[in-house]
Amino acid sequence: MIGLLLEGFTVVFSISIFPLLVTAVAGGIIIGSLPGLTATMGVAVLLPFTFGMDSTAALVMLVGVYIGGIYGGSIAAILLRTPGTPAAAATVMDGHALVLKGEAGKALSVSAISSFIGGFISTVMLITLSPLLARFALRFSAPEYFGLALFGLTIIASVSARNLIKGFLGGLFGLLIATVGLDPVTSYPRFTFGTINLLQGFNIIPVLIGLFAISEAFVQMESLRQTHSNPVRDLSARCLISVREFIRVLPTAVKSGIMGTFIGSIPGAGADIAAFVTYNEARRSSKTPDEFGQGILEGIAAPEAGNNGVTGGALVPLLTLGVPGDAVAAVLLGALIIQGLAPGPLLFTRSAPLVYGLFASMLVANVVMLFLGIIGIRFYARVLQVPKRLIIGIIVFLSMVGAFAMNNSIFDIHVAIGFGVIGYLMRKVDIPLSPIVLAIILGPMAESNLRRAIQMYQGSWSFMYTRPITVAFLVLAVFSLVTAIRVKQRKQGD
Amino acid sequence: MKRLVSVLVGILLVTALLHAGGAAEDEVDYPRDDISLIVPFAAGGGTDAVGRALANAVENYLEVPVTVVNRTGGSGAVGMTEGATARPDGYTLTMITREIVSLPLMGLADITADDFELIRLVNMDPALVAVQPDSPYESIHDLLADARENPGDILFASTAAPNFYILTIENDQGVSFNHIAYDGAAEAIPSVIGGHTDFTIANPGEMIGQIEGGELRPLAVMAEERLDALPDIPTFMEEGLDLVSGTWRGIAVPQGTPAEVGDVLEEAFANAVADPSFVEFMENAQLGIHNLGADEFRTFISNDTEVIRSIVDEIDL
Amino acid sequence: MNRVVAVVFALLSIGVLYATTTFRATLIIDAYLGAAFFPRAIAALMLGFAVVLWFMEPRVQSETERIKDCESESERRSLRTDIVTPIYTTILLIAYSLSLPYLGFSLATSLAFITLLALLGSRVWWHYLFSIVFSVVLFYVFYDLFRVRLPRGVLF
Repeated sequence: MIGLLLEGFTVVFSISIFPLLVTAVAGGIIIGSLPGLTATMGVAVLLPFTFGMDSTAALVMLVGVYIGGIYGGSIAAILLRTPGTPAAAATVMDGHALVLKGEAGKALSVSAISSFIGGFISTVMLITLSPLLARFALRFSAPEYFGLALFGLTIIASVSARNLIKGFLGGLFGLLIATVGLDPVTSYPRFTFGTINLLQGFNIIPVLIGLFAISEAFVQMESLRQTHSNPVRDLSARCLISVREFIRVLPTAVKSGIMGTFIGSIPGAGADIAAFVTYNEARRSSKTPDEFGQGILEGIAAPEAGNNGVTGGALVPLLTLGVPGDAVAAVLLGALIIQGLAPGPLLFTRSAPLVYGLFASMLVANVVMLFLGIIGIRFYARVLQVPKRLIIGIIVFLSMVGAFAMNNSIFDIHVAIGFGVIGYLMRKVDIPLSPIVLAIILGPMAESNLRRAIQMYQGSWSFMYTRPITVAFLVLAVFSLVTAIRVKQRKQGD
Repeated sequence: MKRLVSVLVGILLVTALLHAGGAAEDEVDYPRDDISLIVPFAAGGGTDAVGRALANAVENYLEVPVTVVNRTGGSGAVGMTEGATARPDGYTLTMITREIVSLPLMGLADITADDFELIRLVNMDPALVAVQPDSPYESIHDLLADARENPGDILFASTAAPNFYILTIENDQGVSFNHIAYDGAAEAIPSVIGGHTDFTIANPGEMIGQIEGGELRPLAVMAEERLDALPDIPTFMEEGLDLVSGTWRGIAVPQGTPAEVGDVLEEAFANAVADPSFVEFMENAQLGIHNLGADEFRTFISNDTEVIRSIVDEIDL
Repeated sequence: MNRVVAVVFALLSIGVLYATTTFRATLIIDAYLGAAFFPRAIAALMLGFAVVLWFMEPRVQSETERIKDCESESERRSLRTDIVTPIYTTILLIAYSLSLPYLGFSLATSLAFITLLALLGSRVWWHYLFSIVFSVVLFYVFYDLFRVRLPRGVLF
């Protein structure tokens, strides 16, 4: 194995591959950081270019964009409060709070370092533990998925900073949005108002763009006329985190990276879910849970290590079973097919050099990402110095392109505008946006798996207490709710 | 706010003018411009892979760029509706799939195959029944016999709801399975491998990796002939069941496209489907080439419509 | 304010509850939960929380006030501040999206960007120049590099 890996490294560092990898990671970071352009989309638009390439180059390029893209989402989330990808939605909370405190450099460096830690751990686990992780993932059936989704939904309680009731209302609104479209079991078109555009439900990307990016632009517009200036402007972004702070967040990052890998290895659970789950766990196990949401470094380290942890995990089912672990892996599967490789258990034996070349390029891509992330900080932070009127316009029209691009649809632009207004109103009345996103991501997973489970058990609910993993998730869910309410009460008591 | 109003009025005026003047198109030499190929499913899936490989191959014959545009939603309804209602000038092609037949019959789409001018059928994949390697079912008959004994108890991992493969079997054999609806083969296959469901039916390309790797065991294929890649697996016919079913993909343009344009496209796609690079791709991906011209394609679709209509009628009683 | 929110969510949930009663059966029968179960459960919960929010208002208000400290001031001020610009922007964006298929991306975006800048009261000439360059560059990056078929309009 080591020999094959070393061979992989020599390929990656060859003159024809390495520049491609660096370009791909850089391109991925840019794509990820632009609102609406996700890692999935970046990989998908590059897919046609891999037709003419040899298989190693093709995979190196796609994986580079994937890793860069998942990291890049956090840059816009931190600086502009507009998550570049759904996976970065959890980073907004503490990331932007830190920027408002004038610590943009710290926020960005924690994000880059944690993303690296998460991605690196995940790749190492992919290389060494794939078969084990695959067996773990295979134990997930509908009841387990339902448990995971339910546990994920309880995170709403801990991300609803100020008002639990309003957080729940936001979450329920998100769940409702997620029910729009063809019913997963009976194919009945629910709440589609007769338009075919809604048959598949609301696309998460334009909804996310609307809720975060456009509503943020609206909020920024208001303060243009106000006399007091934006506190962000006059602060240097150069100061990075200190060694002591690094040591403080290291355990959180490592734990989140490992959790992210596990979540990624379960088919159907991706970087967005991992980010919220790891955020919740970091908050739960923290000694100072009430500092989360106010700009704590762990609040960035956890979701960033968690979502990059998915990069390796998502490839576990792809490489071992031939089924994609998330949307990006689905596109990678397409790339493998186009290259004439049948993904599946035999890929390791049949195309070992290719697989180990892929592993090596993932390790190197994570290092490249860290490097670009750290040296890039002062450039990214320049965004804060762009005149506000211009940046509002740029955000608005990038959002329009992003909403359109995923599905080539003007309708999605309307969805983005509509949710921009909704997000703006929600912020006016103090309803947090994260629960809405979380619910839209997890709602369909919870519903289809609950109904599958009941179908499998022919009407019985016994799976709720007979399956150990399901029970564990349900216990965790209760635990997570109780902790969140406790924290709230303690806050009130002060 | 004056400025805003004037710009808005301006935009509206220009819009109206352009709308009025944009209808006439000259079709003397076709194609002169980029062509879009609408793929009604997401990037990375089987339909997308066929579409991209085909677009790549046909570019050489049409001598203009052919770009794949993924328009997903409603099991293909969104993309195919857009393709059917596009301007009939030959610059918007659509990859139509079996859903063009099933969706309107179920009342989930307003368009049918008649809204298209058919160009060519490209691909057809038979349905393959597969179980876990240590499953008790050694043949399709074992499965059916168990289903007769325990109706509604055997868990079938369905790749889509409704699943016409299983309905074909159920209606013909008078059996019933417990359908667990998954979102595509990528979710259904792991549930069989993990032992959470008893069997699934999918296309060879979606399962060949798992079959060769010993994670899945095929029982029978719903085709007229055995598969080249799985020569030991019997067809339903050989097992005494007169059932053939599969999915297919073809190229179409909106109804009303000039006949000359249609001819150019039919010839170009005939060449593309026979192109060695395309053939190689399809073989690698275990996708079956089924090359039919426009007229045969029309007959093929009306036959398939009858098959699906009879199933729909059966369950709609 | 909270009572308004409570009423809006209550109305939404009642609307959803009503809509689920109109769900018809489809070809596929779900013998257990059915298509209406999940939306109904969500709507019922939402109604419950809306009622709680209505009655909790005085207490919640004082709680938020205590936590928010200085933050609340700016928030409260922004509640009153100019909501006019967002409204005009929304109208502009809708007009923009409708004009996209006809004007094409570059032209429509340039026009809309310029209008937005005027709306926001920018008096810097290069902002306007930038908006045009930005629109054109964005179009080519996406159209040619990413092969995203942005609308080209009827003119080009």
